[in-house]
Amino acid sequence: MKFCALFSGGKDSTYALHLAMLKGLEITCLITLKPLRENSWMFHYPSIDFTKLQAKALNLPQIFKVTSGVKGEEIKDLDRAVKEAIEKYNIEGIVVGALLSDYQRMNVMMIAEKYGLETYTPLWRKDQKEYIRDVVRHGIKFIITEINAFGLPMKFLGKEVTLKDVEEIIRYAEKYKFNPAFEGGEAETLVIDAPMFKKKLHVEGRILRISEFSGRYVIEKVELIDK
Amino acid sequence: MILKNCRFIITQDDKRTILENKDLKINEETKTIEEIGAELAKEPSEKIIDCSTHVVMPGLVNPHIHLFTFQLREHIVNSWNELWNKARELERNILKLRTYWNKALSLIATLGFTTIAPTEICYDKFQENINTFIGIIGGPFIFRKPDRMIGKIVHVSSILNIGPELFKELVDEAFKRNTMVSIHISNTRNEVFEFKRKYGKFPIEYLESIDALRENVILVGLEWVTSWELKKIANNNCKVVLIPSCSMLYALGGLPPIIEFIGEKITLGLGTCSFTCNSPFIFHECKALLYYIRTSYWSFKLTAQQVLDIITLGNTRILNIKGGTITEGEPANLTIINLKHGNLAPVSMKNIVQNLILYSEPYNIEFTVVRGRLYSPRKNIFRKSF
Repeated sequence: MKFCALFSGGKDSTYALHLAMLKGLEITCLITLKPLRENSWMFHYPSIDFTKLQAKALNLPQIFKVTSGVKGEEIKDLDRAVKEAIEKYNIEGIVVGALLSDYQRMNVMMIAEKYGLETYTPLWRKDQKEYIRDVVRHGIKFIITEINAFGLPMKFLGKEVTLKDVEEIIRYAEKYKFNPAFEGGEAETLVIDAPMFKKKLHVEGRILRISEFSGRYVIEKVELIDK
Repeated sequence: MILKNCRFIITQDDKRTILENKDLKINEETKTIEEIGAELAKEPSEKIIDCSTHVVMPGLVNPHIHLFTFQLREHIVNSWNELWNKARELERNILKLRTYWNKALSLIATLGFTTIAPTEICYDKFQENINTFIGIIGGPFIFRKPDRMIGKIVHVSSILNIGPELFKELVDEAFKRNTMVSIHISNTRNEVFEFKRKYGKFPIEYLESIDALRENVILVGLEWVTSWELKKIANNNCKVVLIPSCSMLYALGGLPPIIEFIGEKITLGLGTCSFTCNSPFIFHECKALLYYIRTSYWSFKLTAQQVLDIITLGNTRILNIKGGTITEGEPANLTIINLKHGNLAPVSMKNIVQNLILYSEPYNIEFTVVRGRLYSPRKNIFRKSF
C-alpha cells in the first residue's frame, strides 16, 4: 500500500516512518506543514525548514506547505496537503507519529475518513520510557533543539542523545514529573541520522538561554554529508 | 451444601486472597455464602461436593451479549455495518429468532455464567426496548427462559441509526424509570466522523450535550474515544464495557485506552457482544484483551489479575448487582472449574489466576452455583440438537 508520512523532522515522525518502512509500507511522499506561529496545536515548529534536507537524505518527495498555525485553519491546510498527496502520489494511507495527543490523532483520522484512507499510528500510547529508549536503540540519532521544562538541564541542548542520556532524562522526568518522550512539548528534537537516511545532517550552532527553564540550540550551519 | 476441600478459592476480596484446601458452606435458604474454613461438614445429612481438584471463583457475569446474533452465524458478515443491517433483517422472523435465542442460552449455560445481560435488537419500539432484561441463569431449565429477571436495561445499538429524537425519548424515559441504559458508541472511525459532521461534536461530547452521560449509563465499545471524552466519562461516573473480540474481528480500529481508563478509576467490564465474534467463553475474551493491550502498548501494564478484576468485580458493578467476591454473606453465585484437564497445569497459588485467564477452555467448567443451587450444565444441557 502507498502511504504518505506526516513528517516534522523530529524523533517521533522519523521513528514512525522507520517503523512503517519496517512493516513493509511503501512510503511515497512526506507531508510537512510549517506553522507561522510557535504555539501550533498540530505541528512541530522549530527546525521545520531542515525537513527539506531530511527529505533529500531519505530520497523521498516532500509536500511542504506553510500554515497559519491557527487552530482549525491548520486542519484545513493539512486537508489540502493530503488531497495533493492523493492526486500526485496515489496514496492510500497516512503514517502518523502521534504519541498521546488525541487532538493530533483524531484530526488526522477525520481527514483520513473523509478521503477513505488507512492510517498507521505505530507510536500511539506506547509506554513513554520504553518508547524513548527504543528510538535511540533503533538507530534514530537526534539532537535536542529546544528545552521548555523545569528539571531538564540545558546541557542537553545541541547534543546527540545517547542511550546513557536517555536514562538520565528518564531520571529527571521521574523526579520533576515531565514526559520523558517530551510529548508535552518539554523539548523539541531534530533527527540528524537514521537507518533509512542515505546521507546524514551535519549541524553546527550555539546555545541560547532564554530563561531559567528554557533554551534553544540556534542552528547556524546545517548540511548533508556522506555517511 | 458444602464444597469440600476446594483446591483453590479465588475470593476476589480486598486483598485478593486465594485460599487453598478450604471448605465453603452455602446456605441454600438464604442463597448466600455462609462460611469459609476448614472441616465445615458437621452434620451427616449435609450435601457434600468434593472440590479437591477444583477452583471455586465468583460466578461469571456477562454484562453485554446479544443472544439473537447466534442466528447471524448462518451468514458471512464482513463489516460492522453489515452485521447490524443483517441483525435488523432478523427481527422480522420472530419464530426463528426465538429458536436461536433458546439455542444461544443453552450454549452459554455451559460456559460458567451465573448472570447475563442479554440486550436484544428492538431499537425502534420503545416498549420492546424496555423489556430487554438482565436475568440470572443457570441449570437445565434455561431452555425456556432465564431463571429470574433481576433488572431491566435499555440498549441502543446506534444513535445515528435511530436518530437523536428517538434516542432522547428513550433515554429520558429510561432515566425517569431509573432503568440502566446501554449504548454502543464510538465504535468506528466513520461513526465518529458522522457525529462530527452532523452534530459538530464527538460522540461522548454529544451525549454530554443532551445530558445523557449519567451513572446508570453503560458505554459499550468506545474504540474511538478521545482523551478528553475519557475525562467526561470519569467525571460522570459512567460505566464502560469492553468487547475485544468484536472490536478486532470487525476491524473497528483497535480497543479503547484501557490503561488510561484504569488510571481514571472508571468501572470497566468485559462482555462478549455478538455470537459471531466468539464462543462466547469469557476467558477467551480475557485472553483477547490481554493479548491486544500488550501488543498495542508494548508493555505488561495490564496484568492477568486486573483482567480477573474486570470480569468479577467490574462486571457485577456494571450491572449494579451484588457478588463478584467470595466472602461470607455474599450471594452464592459461583463458577467451579475442574483442574483435572491438563490444559491448566501446573497450578499453584502463584499462577492460578494467570493460568485461568490464559489457558481456560469451556470444558474446564464443571459446575455453577446459582442462588445457592448447584448445577452441572455440561451434563444436562445438550438435550437440544444444534
